[in-house]
Amino acid sequence: MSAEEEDMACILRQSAATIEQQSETVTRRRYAQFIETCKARTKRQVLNQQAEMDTYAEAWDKDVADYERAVGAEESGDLHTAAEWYRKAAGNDFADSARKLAEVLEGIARRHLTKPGGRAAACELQLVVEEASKAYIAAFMAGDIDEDELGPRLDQLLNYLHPARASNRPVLTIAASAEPDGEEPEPSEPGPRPESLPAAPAGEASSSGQARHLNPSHDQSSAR
Amino acid sequence: MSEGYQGEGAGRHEREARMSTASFWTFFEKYDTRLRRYMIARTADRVLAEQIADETMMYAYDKWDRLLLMEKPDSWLFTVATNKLNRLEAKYRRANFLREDLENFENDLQAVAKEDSWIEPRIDLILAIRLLPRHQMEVLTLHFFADQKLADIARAMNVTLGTVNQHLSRGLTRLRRDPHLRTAIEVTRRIPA
Repeated sequence: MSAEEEDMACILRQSAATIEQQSETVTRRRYAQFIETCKARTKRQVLNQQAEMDTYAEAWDKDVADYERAVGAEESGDLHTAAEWYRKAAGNDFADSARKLAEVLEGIARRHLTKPGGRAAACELQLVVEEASKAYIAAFMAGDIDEDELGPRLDQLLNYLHPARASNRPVLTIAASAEPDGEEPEPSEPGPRPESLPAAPAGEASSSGQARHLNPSHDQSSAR
Repeated sequence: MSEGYQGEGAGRHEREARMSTASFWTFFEKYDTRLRRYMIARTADRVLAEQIADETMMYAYDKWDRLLLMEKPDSWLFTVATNKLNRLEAKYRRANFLREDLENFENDLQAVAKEDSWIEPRIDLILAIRLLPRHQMEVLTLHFFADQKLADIARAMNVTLGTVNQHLSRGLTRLRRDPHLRTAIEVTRRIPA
């Protein structure tokens, strides 16, 4: 743990040290109310409440099963089936399924590059890229990927849609902090590119202004 | 919760029931307040937080005989509450029913602080935690506020220990850079180890 992280961990430990503290009177009163509520329930109410809580446990088991099916399909190279199962798990914000969904969809988009193109294929590619972009943003919002990864990944997705763009467009990056008005942001390193596409020419590193709105923590901290 | 049988062997069962009740009180005394404050730190809606904390504790009461056999009943308690909260939040988020903006977070915390003196001096910290990306917030609150081990958190979240460590590290770094927590950090630095 770095010194920076240790500082913060220390503050959290100090706060957590007193988290259980409550006056005995309050705890005893809460307990008496709690037991009274528990005992006042009819047998039917108890069963209904237990069934409701059980459904959450079952739903978690189902998410685990969906996720494992997705991993199995991905390992066997069946990306469409993998996407279907990751999509279900991602709908419940389960584990890192949003990021996995985005990566699988990106794999599907990559396969499109090697296929002969037609109008239907182009439409499908567009839909895949759109969904993959949304899934990457969902993964970013959940904290599964950080701002340094998001920009290059979105940029790479756009390159699948417009291969010619790769040679003459800057790479999209997300600024970690705001620059003062009127100042040009520092140029950033270009992100990874698909193997089949050429890298951006030197000196065409990105401007991050357009992408800054994608950083929720930036918006929130500046709002404060 | 088991209740005493009438007739043959009633004395033994009554004794067991009394012991079971006594041990549940110990569990309640230790975890009720912690669970409620953990839930409040986790969600933007204190009513939802308290409702889930109550329902989970009631579920533990109903399943107490089974929980007594578990190695870590506290782990079970926090996992059940977290799963329910995550699922409900995902549902509300899909329906645009969950307000996850700064203004709502602040108003909600001010209201909780009036009822709970533990929250009041920690509003900035809890606010900063609530503003973290969801999975980073989950790891930080489970580890520090619910006192769960990182390996148990990895199991509960169905991710690897490496991923949990990454969330912990990124979450701590992000909190450390929050301008509203600078004073708290300076004060902590002055406290000798």
